[in-house]
Amino acid sequence: MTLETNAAGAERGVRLKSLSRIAINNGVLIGFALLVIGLALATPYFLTSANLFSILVQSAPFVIMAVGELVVVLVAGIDLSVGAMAGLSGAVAAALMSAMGLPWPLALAVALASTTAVGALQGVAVNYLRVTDFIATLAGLSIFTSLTLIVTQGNPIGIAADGFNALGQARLLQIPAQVWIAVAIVLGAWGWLSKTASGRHLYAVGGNRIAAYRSGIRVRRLRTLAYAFSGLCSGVAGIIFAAQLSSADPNAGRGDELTAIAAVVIGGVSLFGGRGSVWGAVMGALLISTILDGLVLLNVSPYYTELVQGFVILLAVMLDYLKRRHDSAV
Amino acid sequence: MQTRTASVQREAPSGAPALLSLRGIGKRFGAVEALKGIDLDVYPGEVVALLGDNGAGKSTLIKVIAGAHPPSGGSMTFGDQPVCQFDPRHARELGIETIYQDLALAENLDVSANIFLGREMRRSRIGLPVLDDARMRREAAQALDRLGIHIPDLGQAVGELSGGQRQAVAVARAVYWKAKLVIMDEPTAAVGVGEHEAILELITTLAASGVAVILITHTMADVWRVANRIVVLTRGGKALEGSPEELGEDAVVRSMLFGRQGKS
Repeated sequence: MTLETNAAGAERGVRLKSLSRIAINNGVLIGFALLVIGLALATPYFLTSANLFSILVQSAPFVIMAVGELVVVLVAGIDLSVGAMAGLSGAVAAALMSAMGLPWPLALAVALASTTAVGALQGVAVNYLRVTDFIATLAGLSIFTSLTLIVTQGNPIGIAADGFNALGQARLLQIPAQVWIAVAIVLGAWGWLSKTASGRHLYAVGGNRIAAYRSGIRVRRLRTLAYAFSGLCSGVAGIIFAAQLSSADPNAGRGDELTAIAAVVIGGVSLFGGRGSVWGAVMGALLISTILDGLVLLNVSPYYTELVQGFVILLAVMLDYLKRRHDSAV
Repeated sequence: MQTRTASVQREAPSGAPALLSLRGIGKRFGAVEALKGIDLDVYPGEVVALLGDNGAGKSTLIKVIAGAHPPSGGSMTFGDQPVCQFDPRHARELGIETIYQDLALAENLDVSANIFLGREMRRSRIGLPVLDDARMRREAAQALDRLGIHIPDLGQAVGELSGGQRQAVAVARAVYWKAKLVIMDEPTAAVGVGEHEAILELITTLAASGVAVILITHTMADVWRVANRIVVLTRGGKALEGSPEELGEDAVVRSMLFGRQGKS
């Protein structure tokens, strides 16, 4: 009798455990699904193709920044300056076009080269000068924000070049240009991380830096490269911000580092390095964009935006902790 | 168990030149003399057990051999060539692999990724070099097979493997990359009973294939199972050297414990 009850109880326990395991392992997907269902029920506008398209368009620059952040986080670093670098990129491009009259492809190239270079400089500070990643990129955040204000003198700089603005406004095969750009960067990053030796080395460095070093991987050079790549991605995101508005906003990218970090955390990327995928970062960025879109549709005051984002980050980190505990218990 | 031990060739292969020769190796850290005039020859295919109390100089000695510490005095030759450059990468190029206690593996990567870490196989895909994972996995499986190691799923992250399996992966990597001398630092310290046995067999297999092994351990039984020669260090100097049979367990233990008194 008692034995039977115990057996039944145990079975129920096992079933509960496997259920909780599924919930924990797919927490983000489940959360995403619940969010979509909830929003669809709450507002008829959510599931319209116009709105879904707008989510995709809004999320494109965040997806790109999240991919850059992902690569830095994979090598157990963090980049707090991605939003500031995005702002700088747009400002540099716009200033070069309006003040110096450079043709837009050249201005674009210089803007991307400059954010890649400042990203690399942060990488040098972290890896060769031994500045803590937090401090180095926090200093970068401050410096690049100020540089953006200096370049723009605090006012938006209009961009007249149609070719440039097309990057944020044109469509190809019905798909907006920024979505194409995001797809290209996502596919490129996926190929790099999962198909090449240096991509694998990024994971190795994040997983066990000493082992990577002993295996002959040039750890400091590779980590510097990760920061440079983050700078490049932020630069592209900044170009999209500017192209969407036909002008470089001095406040563009402000606070977006939080969104990028939240996206990778929500996407299951370990902040300790070595674990995570491009798809995770993309999912995270899309989830955040959907939440932000939902808040707008539900007429929630924009003052709540960052509050919601903060709680989503907390939730994602707790979920990650549960998953880790679950994995180590098995 | 005993038969395997008996099958191990006990005396150093006479006639063959030493693979590694140390002459008068000394190492000072400031005022501390960590190693004093160590002479040591290691021959291909033999297992040398390096014994000694904590702080006797075992770790310093293997770090000198592995290139992590340049010696303060003395000379080292490896495969007839004098070694003048002491850094880990150079030692590796010579064929000296060290399997550290804290295991130089990336736990988030799978078995074959670890075996090939830093030396990945590539193939060309639309003109771009991409990882040839299928080939690396095949080669890894063969390398493990040759050593009699069975790991069911090579796609598993190394972090999910047991301590013994990880040791095996580290050894397989050393062997795959043609190590001539493998230094193992307490390989059985963190493994279960069944795996303990497997690691000892692995060491025997390794030596039988012509690789020289320097083994640091605190487990006397292991020494008698696999070692051809015992070297006991006390206070940075060589206190005792000989085959397990001619020395006897008593003398070895006494020298490890009371080496100091014996010397003074």
